[in-house]
Amino acid sequence: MSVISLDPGATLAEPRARQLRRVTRPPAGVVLGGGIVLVLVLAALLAPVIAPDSPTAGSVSQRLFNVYTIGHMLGTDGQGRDVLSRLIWGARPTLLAGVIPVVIGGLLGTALGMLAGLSRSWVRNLVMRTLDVLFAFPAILLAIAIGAALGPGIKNAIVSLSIVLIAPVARVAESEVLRLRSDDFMEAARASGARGTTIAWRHVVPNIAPPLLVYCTSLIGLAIVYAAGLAFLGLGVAPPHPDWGGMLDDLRANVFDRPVLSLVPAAAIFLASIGFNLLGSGLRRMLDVREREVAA
Amino acid sequence: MRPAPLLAAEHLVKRFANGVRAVDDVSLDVGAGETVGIVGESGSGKSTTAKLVLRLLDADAGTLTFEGRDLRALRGAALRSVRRRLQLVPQNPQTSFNPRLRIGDSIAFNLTVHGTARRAARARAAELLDQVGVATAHARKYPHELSGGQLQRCAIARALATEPALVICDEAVSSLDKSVQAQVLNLFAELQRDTAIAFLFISHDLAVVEHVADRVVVMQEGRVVEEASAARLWEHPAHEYTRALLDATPERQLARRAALPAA
Amino acid sequence: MNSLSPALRRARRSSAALGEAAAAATAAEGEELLRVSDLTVAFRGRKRVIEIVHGLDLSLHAGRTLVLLGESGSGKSVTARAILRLLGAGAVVEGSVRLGATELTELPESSMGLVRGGAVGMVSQDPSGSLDPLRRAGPQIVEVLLRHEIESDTRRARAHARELLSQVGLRDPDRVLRSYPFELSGGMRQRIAIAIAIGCRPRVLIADEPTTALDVTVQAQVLELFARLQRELNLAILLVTHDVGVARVIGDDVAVMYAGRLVETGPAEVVLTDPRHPYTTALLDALPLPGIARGALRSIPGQPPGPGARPWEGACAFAPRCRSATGACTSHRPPLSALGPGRLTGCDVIADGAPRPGEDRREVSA
Repeated sequence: MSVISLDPGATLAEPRARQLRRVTRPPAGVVLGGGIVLVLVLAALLAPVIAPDSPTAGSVSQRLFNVYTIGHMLGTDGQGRDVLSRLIWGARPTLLAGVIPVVIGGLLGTALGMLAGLSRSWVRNLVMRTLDVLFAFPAILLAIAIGAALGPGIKNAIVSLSIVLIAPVARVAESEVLRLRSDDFMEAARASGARGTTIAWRHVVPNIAPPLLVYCTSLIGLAIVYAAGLAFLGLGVAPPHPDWGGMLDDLRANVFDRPVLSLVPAAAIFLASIGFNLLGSGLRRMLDVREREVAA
Repeated sequence: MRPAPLLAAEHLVKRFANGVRAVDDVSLDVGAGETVGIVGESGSGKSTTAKLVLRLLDADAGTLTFEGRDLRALRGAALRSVRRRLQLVPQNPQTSFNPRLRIGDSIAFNLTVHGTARRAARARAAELLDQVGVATAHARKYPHELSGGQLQRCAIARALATEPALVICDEAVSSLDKSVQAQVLNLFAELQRDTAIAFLFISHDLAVVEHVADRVVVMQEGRVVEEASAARLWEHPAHEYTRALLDATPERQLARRAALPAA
Repeated sequence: MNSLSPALRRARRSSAALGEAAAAATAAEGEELLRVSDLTVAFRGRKRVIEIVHGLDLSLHAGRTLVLLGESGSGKSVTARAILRLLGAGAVVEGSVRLGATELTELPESSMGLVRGGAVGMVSQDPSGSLDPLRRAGPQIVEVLLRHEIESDTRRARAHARELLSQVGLRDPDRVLRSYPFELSGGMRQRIAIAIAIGCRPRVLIADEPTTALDVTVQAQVLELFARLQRELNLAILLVTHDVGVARVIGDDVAVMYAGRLVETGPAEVVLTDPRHPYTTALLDALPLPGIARGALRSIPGQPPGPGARPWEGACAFAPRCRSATGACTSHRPPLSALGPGRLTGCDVIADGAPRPGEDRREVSA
């Protein structure tokens, strides 16, 4: 999964995105990524309607059917449960564990980043150095550690992922704010006699929102992978409810006799994560459309 | 005796973190309705002086009096309210407007922060644009949709919005093409004639300063080295550095070259 | 400023023919080193191809400085970069650029790399952009001398570098060689960039706004350096600038660009004191010279047409802003026509010596 990265540098290198209004024809990445995300959302919403079988009940006589079996498109798992149905139902915890932590971590991270970016240097140092401590651990290790401390369950997985995502978002937000701070219009706003909070709301938020939105969209892909990782370790959705990470764990034992079948949940995780990443990087390009100015 | 000046700066000092005195014992004053030019090269401390006067930076020593009030002592609401009377036209029009706000909203912002209702502020913004010669329809445009000259007029409109007593122009025409610069300089002249606003006009361009200013302060390495009326400075520069600046103008360079014996 | 006074202008006009003849004679002395013919540059936009420079002819002669004068958006920098083929894949360049007998537009990229910084030296606006901030100045100069095979070994290249730095007027070359770019002032960095540019013994030097980022006193020194090097090395210099003052100080010849075209060319002294195109006139009149009453500057109304909005044929691009425009100006575009040797104008309304629109304003405003 080399496409995903917690490295905020990936967005920092981009010039500040501009002018939502000028969005024209969406690039291919947005269409493809948006398509994948749409399928995922529809699956989650319509799971009771479109899932062919029960995601939790199976019969032992139907264990480990391979993919392309009639009646079980994607085969069955070790307990005879229909993998396709489990995948469809599993879209729910996948989306929840992908989106909610990004929303929570994104809002908290943005708030901290703005606080750091707009405050005096000692406040900035305090906030950012504290976050550095968080950021020093590999994110997945941190998520596992917090998840393990809180215990299994999707709520705890969401909490632990939210905490993990605060630091990277805060870093991006802070650097965006710092870049703004040196802009002339911020000085003009200060000279106008506006309060700090007014300046933050009217001048800072509209300028940092687009790049942060883009970054957070890509982070959803990452959160999905991490959530699957937690579930794989038994720190996610409690069995027997379906979850892609848990399914991966279930089918892992059959990687030699049913190699294709065992890869189905992995492929789903991969696709979902790619989908959000494509959407994110595509959005970045769309928001960055500027007239090609020709220097003279 | 002269009446008390609108702005009086005495013995201003600003040290940077590395100990360098960016502004070193600078004193200057600006009378009501007067235009004072500050000329100097990079590192002369002219822009830092502007920031000290605007309280965008805090001076380390010295006094700043504006409309009879001790500017350096003002905090919070008192400082914010005095900023209505003390405005800025920054150097680069392309970056001095929030790229995500419409021009009209950027101008109205300066009014709404001082309590004007949004609707009234918008109406006033349109009037101001008209006053500086920008079509009022441009109020609905974003900064990148306007040219540098138009934007600089908008920046002037923004500075005028709160009816300031003093407008500080920090290299306000330096980034403009000469043909557009002439438009903006004429606009300044018109404003000087029609309003009682005082200007502190900062530029590296001696010709520009000479054109707009009544009095000129020459700065070098953080210090004021000469102060004189614009005409006198041009004809009888007293300080060596002023002479060096004058000698660097194309006219004097050409004159010097003409004086050389032909090769 | 004295040279712009009306009395002098009138005097110049009467002796203009003499001056032009003399200037043309000097031009003929210098060998033609670089010739740009019918240069057209366009950029591929998302929807269409937009022309930025149209049908441009320039000629550089040994021992002469040609100033390409224009305001932002006129296409002057694009022209300089197009000559050196520095525009990248998005640009469509047509026309011919001949360096002596070599057609640069047809050279393979590998050979072009040796022309740049070799036979044709370059100096850019931002001297720090052409120097690696993380390396000392000395090795950077040495590297260029070795790459272009000016010197065969490092020791001699270092000595040569030292010599070059003294040549560009740096007083303590040894210290400069050991310095990192950030330890040097902008003027010193620009002198180093010039030293690198002349180090490979170019015959042609292309400088794009070389003094714009510098302080005025330093700017004057660097311009004097250009003039001296040109004499000493018999260089042909193409200097791109927006600054009429720079053009007057350094230019032997001047080519004025507006909206992607040449509008007037000729000896700098003549063009900039007795312009025969309304744009050149307006540009000179817009300068805040001493003695002009406040508010009495003659600005050019409106703005130049943006890229994509230019009437290449069928109308004069300057007509909407021109004080002398007649109805004909919006229906046909006069070709560049000769007024005298080496003197061309793209306007047929005031070319014939009719009163210039900016005339006598000093008397009116004073």
